[in-house]
Amino acid sequence: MLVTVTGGSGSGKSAYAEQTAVRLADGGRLLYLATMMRDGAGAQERIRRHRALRSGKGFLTIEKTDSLCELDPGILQGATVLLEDLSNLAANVFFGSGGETVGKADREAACAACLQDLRYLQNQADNLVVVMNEVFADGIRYEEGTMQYLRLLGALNSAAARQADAAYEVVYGIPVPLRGGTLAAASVCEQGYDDTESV
Amino acid sequence: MREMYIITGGAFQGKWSYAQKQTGLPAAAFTDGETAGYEEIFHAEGIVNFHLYVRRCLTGQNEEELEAFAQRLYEENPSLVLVTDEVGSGIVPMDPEERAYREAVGRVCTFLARRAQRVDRVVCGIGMVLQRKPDPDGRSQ
Repeated sequence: MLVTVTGGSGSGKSAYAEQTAVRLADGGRLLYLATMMRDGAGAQERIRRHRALRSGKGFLTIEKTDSLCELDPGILQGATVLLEDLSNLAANVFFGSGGETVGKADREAACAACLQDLRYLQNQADNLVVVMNEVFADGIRYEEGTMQYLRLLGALNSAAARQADAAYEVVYGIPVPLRGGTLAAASVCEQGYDDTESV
Repeated sequence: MREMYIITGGAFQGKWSYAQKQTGLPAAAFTDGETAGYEEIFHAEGIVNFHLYVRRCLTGQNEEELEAFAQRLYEENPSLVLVTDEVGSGIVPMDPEERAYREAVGRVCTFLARRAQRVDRVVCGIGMVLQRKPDPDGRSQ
């Protein structure tokens, strides 16, 4: 079973992904695959926070910032893997090559490497829950390297969600199904937009 | 007795007029998060631009402090109609304050959404109900 979970900053996506992994594991082994580099902006605080969230839930934590297909199949087989997160993995692969220019060729290479890692995890593990990030809607035109990175994330998120049995966007802790499920409260209230002072 | 109702979505999507239509509250019942005093939110019927209130009044607080604020808000004003921009869906900014602001809006809204009776998201003026709990009388609102 593959489940993808996306969301913005502070959306509660990590907590939801953990719950999902615990539910899918159904008492089986739980692996937390941490891809974040420890020296990034705010990394220590995020690590502390995520550790506190996970504590007591039975996750074994493995830190691996890239080349996930090098992981021992023995540890993955029979386990439910929570990958946190796809954006960090992609950044490590894309920006980690060290070159000055990070252009189209680097992006395509990074995309292929990340997809290979995902495929490997998916094939080896019983269940895979992938956390990713909604980072596409701030309307800012970044410099070339960041735009290539955004394009890379868009492609990876789409590829992962396409193969997923269920894909969710978490909004303030509420899982909104993008595919493979229906929203418990699903309904639409049509309202004409008629207020120029509206927010 | 109305219960907490959160209306979110991107900027300029018609969230406020949607909020007025859904609740029957007039525009004057909403305080503005861009200018509201810290205490005002605890007794207002509604607030628009809640994200700007968070930006002005709460950015820099740690998670425990944010939770304490949200807890107090829910306890003292459980029927608040809260209209906020979604602000967390961009590249996580390098600037620590900008990062903390987005995180704070998300954390406070996640805390409140768990307790709110209803959460809607407005896109192109059209609202989608993300969460609707049965009210205490068993009627759906």
